[in-house]
Amino acid sequence: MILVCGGLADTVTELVCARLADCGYPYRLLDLGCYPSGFRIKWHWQDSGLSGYIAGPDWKLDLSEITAVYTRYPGPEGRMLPPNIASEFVPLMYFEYDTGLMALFEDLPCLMVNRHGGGMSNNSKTYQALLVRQYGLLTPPTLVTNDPIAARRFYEDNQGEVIYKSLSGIRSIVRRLEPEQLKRLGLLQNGPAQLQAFIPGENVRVHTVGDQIFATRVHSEVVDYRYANREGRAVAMESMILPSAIAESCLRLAQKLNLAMTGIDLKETPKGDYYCFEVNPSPGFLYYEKYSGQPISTALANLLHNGAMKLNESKLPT
Amino acid sequence: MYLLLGDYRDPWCLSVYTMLKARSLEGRIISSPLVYPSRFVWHLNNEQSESQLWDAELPIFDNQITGVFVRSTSWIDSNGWEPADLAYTLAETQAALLGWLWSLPCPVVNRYPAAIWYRPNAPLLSWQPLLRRCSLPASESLITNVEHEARAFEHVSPTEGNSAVYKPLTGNVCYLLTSEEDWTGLAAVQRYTPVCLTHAHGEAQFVCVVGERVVKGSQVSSEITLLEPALRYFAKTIGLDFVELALAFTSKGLGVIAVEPYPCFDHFEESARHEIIEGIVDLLTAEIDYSHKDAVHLLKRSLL
Repeated sequence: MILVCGGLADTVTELVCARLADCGYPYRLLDLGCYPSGFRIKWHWQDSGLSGYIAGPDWKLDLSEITAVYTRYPGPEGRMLPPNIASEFVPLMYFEYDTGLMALFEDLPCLMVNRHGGGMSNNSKTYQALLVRQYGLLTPPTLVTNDPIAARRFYEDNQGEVIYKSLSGIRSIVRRLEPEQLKRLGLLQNGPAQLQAFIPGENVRVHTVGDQIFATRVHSEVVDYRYANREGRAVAMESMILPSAIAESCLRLAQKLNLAMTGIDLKETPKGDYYCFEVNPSPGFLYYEKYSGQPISTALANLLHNGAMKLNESKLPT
Repeated sequence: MYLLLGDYRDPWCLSVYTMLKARSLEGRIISSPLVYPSRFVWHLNNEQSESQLWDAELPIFDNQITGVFVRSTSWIDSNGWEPADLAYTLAETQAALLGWLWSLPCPVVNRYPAAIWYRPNAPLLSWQPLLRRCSLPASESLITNVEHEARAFEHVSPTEGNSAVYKPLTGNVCYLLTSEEDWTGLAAVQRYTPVCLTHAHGEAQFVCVVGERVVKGSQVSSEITLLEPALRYFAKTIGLDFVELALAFTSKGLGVIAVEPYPCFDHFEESARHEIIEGIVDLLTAEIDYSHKDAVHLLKRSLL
């Protein structure tokens, strides 16, 4: 049985559930929007392994029956407030819930989309970059510094064609470093920032789903196309075929990170080089599926189902 | 030059510094290498990685760093910061430091994998699959929000004195459940959150794996000696050269009750500390196999 673990208020989780239903693949939803309310759980760790169950309003699933899991943890906005809990303790409660779930999912011997450990690399873009560049994908000239002088020199060396963005897993808008912002470089002393040479070309979002790959070319004049609407600009998307070497690099990278599904941000230069910016372990693929028409959610549903099939086969006596 | 990243008062840092000095080697303790008054410049591109660090007057180039001992992920004085800004800056600093440590070609103790760097206080349950894989017994645990399942756990091992303990996954406190009142209180907690139960155990016994050495704390059971190969294998599997494990007896025998990626100085007596520090310095000063000099090769091998 497939277990979907996410918040129904999250459109990506909702799409995964809808697609599984559409494909006729049975699943159970552990709705993190309200969890643990409405669920009964027992997870028992012993030297012999993990056993127990998850029970919903009208179902009960033994852990040994779970053959594939899709997880997507909602933020606080996607969760119901626990009743009668002081607001300052609510984040701690969510943390306690998620820590237990992560421990469970790390130990389930089935297909996981995705295991938590593999995705941790995305919390440090430079850590990830060191790995990415070993797989045939290019890394833009990057400066990490808390030194205003070095930042200014980098800006000048790149003729002012520089962007800045977060180094960590905290989401930020990618912006150009403009002359006006050079005045604020002194603030860098408080902590390091990441500057990168602006890479001309078009953004390409790659979704790997198992051994399948879906590449989407994004046409936009905005540096960070995710926020094009805010600037009143349009975004257009179309599916594309990646050069086989780049496709293979993406698949090998996802495999190395132990991620069954990824969203990889690339940029193709006018010369045909491919730079990689990050590997997202919990991609919001709905946006790309909607605009490019690619069957990403169907591939995911099949992966979850086939992962289940493979596990069932492996349990057959030989 | 050996960099010791940690607080000036950290006893491991100070001891490693002293031993390096005794061997006529230069060490420098830096608490926050990426924050003023330190200056940090790291250029990374597709072909190369070059960094410079100014802790005092003189720059330290990355090829001058012969070893790094890591005791903290970063530290920023919270004075004058808005909480959200501080959290962001800390996250950025930790991200930069992790990447930089992996870019260095010298020995780094520990070159933490991202999964451990970001969850150093992960509960024992998170280590269970790896402990099992390494044939290390761990204490039995239960997570449940069902009252009768919790009560049943008390009787799984009905040995006299084998009480259950409630230990929140994200806290450091434990509550021994001995009376009916305790269980009623636990049931009340279960209405809000699943609870994690373990069995009460004997006194914790500490061991530290430093490279190939397994250094035992005081009053350690002789049975731990039998686990030494498994402890070494565990440290290697998780990619740490310096890690502490706490073990204890329960009614089911000796088991791991905690994994500590940042070993605690106070858990070891003088002679054990000396051996650990010697082990750390040996790791830092080890001859590098230049065929595998690039830390990225390690990164590719060690991702959990």
